[in-house]
Amino acid sequence: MKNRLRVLRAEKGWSQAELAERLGVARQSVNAIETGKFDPSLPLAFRIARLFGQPVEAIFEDADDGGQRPS
Amino acid sequence: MRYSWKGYWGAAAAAAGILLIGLFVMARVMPPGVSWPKAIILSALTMGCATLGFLAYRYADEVMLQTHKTAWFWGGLGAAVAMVPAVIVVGWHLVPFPLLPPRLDRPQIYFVLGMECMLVAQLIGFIAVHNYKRWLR
Repeated sequence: MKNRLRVLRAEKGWSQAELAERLGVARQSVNAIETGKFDPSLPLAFRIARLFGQPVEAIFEDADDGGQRPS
Repeated sequence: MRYSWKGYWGAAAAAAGILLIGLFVMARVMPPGVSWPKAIILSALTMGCATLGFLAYRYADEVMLQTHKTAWFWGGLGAAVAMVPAVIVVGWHLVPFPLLPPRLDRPQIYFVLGMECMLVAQLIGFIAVHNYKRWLR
């Protein structure tokens, strides 16, 4: 699953460690999510969405839907 | 589930420390051979380390936990299957077990060693898969 976490984090000017602290996860876990090695659970995905003030589907993109989002 | 570096590594280090101290006492302080105290210590070590391991998981985040679960499943399962031929040929004395002194070459020792070797093999499998998922994937 692709995501925009790295871009959103850069916009806020946070390091991976800072984002990890805010989410309550390890820095390596933020890296794993950013690089697409790990898909977060729904609760963590919603925590990320709340933190950036965006809907989940604006951050995470299903690789199977060809990038199309519901209107 | 809230990640805590201190909690996670503290519990993991405590498990490793207890295991090392217990094995040192069994190997260097207690008389050789099988006995009730050794059986109790070995059982307590296994239970204690497992308990501390579960405690460590309470402080892990979901990415760590999922990576560990996958590594335990594939690494542990793979190692258990891979150990079957080794257990058969060593258990049937088709090949000698090089680490075992002749005085300890007894069925009781073989049983415990076989079980412990299986756990060690599963640990090796876990570490291999965990590092693959963490660094190479």
